[in-house]
Amino acid sequence: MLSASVKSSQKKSVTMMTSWVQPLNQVRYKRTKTKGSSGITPQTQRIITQLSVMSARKKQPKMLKLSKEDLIKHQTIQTAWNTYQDILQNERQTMLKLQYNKMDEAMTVLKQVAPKLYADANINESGKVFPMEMRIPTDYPPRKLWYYDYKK
Amino acid sequence: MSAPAKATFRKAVPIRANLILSRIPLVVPEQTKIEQQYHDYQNQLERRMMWTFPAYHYFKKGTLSEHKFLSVQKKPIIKNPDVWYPKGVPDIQHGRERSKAQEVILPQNEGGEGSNITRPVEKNPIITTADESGDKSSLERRLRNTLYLLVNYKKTGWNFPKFEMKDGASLDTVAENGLRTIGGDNINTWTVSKKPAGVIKSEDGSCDFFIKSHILAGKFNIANDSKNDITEYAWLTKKEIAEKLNKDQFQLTEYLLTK
Amino acid sequence: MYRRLIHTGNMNRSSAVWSDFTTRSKSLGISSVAIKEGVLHGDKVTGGPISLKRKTNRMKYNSPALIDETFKTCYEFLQDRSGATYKYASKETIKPASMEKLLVKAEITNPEVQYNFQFGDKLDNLPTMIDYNQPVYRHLGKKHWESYKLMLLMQRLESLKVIPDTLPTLKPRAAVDIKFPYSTGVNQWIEPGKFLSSGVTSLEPIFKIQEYELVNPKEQLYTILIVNPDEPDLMNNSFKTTLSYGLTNVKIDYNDNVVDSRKFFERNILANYLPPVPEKNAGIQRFAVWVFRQSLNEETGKCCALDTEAATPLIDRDNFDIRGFVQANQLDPIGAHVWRSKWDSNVNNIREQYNLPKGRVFSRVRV
Repeated sequence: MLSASVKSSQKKSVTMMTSWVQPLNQVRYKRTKTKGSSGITPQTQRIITQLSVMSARKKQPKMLKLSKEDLIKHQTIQTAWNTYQDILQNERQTMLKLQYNKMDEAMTVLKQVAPKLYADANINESGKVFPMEMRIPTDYPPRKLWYYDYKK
Repeated sequence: MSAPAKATFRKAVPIRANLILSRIPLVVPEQTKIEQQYHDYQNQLERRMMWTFPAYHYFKKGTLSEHKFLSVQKKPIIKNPDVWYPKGVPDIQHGRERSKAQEVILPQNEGGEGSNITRPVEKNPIITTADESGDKSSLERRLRNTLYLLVNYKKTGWNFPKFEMKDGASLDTVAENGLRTIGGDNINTWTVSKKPAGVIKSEDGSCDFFIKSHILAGKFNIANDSKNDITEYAWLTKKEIAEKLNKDQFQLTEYLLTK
Repeated sequence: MYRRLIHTGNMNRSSAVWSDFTTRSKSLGISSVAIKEGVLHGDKVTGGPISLKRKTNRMKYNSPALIDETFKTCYEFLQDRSGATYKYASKETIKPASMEKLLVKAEITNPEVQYNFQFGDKLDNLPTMIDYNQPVYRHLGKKHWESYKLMLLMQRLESLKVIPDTLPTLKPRAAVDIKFPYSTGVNQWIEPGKFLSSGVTSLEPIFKIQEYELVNPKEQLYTILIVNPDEPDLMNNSFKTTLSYGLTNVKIDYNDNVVDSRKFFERNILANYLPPVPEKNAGIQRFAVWVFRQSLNEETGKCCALDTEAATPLIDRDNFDIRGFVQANQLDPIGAHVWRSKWDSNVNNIREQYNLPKGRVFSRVRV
């Protein structure tokens, strides 16, 4: 089944032959050992199996050869996808830029109208972490949609 | 001329802290057609290029489980030198046709529902009861969108919750505490930053600063007392907010909201 | 075919720009109907990709799963964007350079254009397939040229010291290819720097000048010079440059750009062709081909033609000052090419053919 077909070293019995001796007909005896894994212990066999899981040998699919038409189609799909991602990225960037500018404006106004509040807003917040209770959006909703029983 | 101008500057400008309390989406946004198709296509390509599943590693030869596994697999067309194959001569390694994607079928157990890991996944519905009944005060509506808290003031109508500044308190604490006075204590929120995300300067000189916050758990409930000047509240998407707020005000806050 | 027309009839929106050939050039679509059908609507109907010639191969071929459905969506997406670009390009008053960019942007994602360019012959182009009048093909051609041939040319020019031995430097803007197509020559485009035997080079080469930039082909004139900077100059114990061939006031088109005897007359010839006849033991001689754009008059838009009758007597072929000539005539080098020659047994025959004196034979010791 596997690459375990390590061939048992078939030692040829060396027969001394001289010209005046009649050559004997070769005799085949019954096979006593199984072919292939004759010299392999189960432990070795296991290691070979495990290694073969990681090896590409005999497991790789045939190379994908595209016809001219399909190559062009594939390229078009990739181009469209890249263009689409570019659009999304641009939208996100412009939105972020706008939000940053508005935040900047708010802070400038705050500095003018209430210096005390401005100082409060500028207190260093390093070490503030993202709350663990916040849920990451999933493909489908959880069984319990919202946790209402929160008590302070 | 400069004297009265200076006087107005000296006079403390009325400042209000507005709170943009959002519920982030529970479910990822719906994929567009192009996204859906592209992901499916890439998935199929990946399957085609995948290595053959090493079944011999998972199922020991000659065991019952191996038999069970092999018996449910689809058998590929085998190569026979006497046969003409118009679709190409089969090229089979480890029981897989190399020019095609391999379909690995897991044997299904009969009975024993709970323990079976191969049972089909039951998906919860994305349209909830709150969506069907049109209950806008529920947090369980519009799972794909970000929802924002809007309250209906008796005098001025729908708006984000706004609070007058108190002495010595910063913008974010005023907003957070104010939310609890109007909506009850049993609410878990996380304020993004002490810094305001935006400002609206009114013609009378007052300033509305916006603080962003997320609701994580609990419920917003209006206290039923006569002092309260809020009649109702709603969790709304950006689109719905555009209908509730007046046009000018929505334009000034639009950039703070996501779809 | 009719069924397909009916089928696509309902989606014939204003943005279906890529299927509308009333104003667009035919070269922006695939000319073969069957292949076009296969690319745009899948091969399922036609039974395998038409680009595979043998029927058995077509039957054996398996397309990747879901490729046709995904392609359809992506095609419409890109076509819509192209439609928007065309709309923008038609609305505004746009400068020609920006217009060129917009037209490239509108067509470069078109799968039919990509098919034509990728599988068409880019050098000996068929104008029905690759039409260099179209900005998009010029753009693609330029990218293709820059990806290999430009680098090869520059490497040869620099390692053979053609620059700075003939002209100080070069920023190539047009692809220049040469060929010796006559019975004595090899009928293939010459790779820069190649050794050519004197038999091959016995008749004048033809040139192909592929412009990728936006020029006015109706007005623009070109000058072509072949110089040999390796002629031994015994007097000065050095080498001198000789002029092997000179053409001027040549007009080319984006597609019809092979400069052979159809393209010029007696009045275009600055110097008749003298084939490479290296003398024995004089070493290897380089033959540098230089292509120049002649200067344009800014006001009139006309190109300054070179007066051959006046210029020819002034040219000293045996001791040619190419730098001085280029400066005097305001020539703008846009492309170059080079080949090498050395003495072989056929040189004497060539000399006889052109009535040239018998060549010297150099030795180690100067007599």
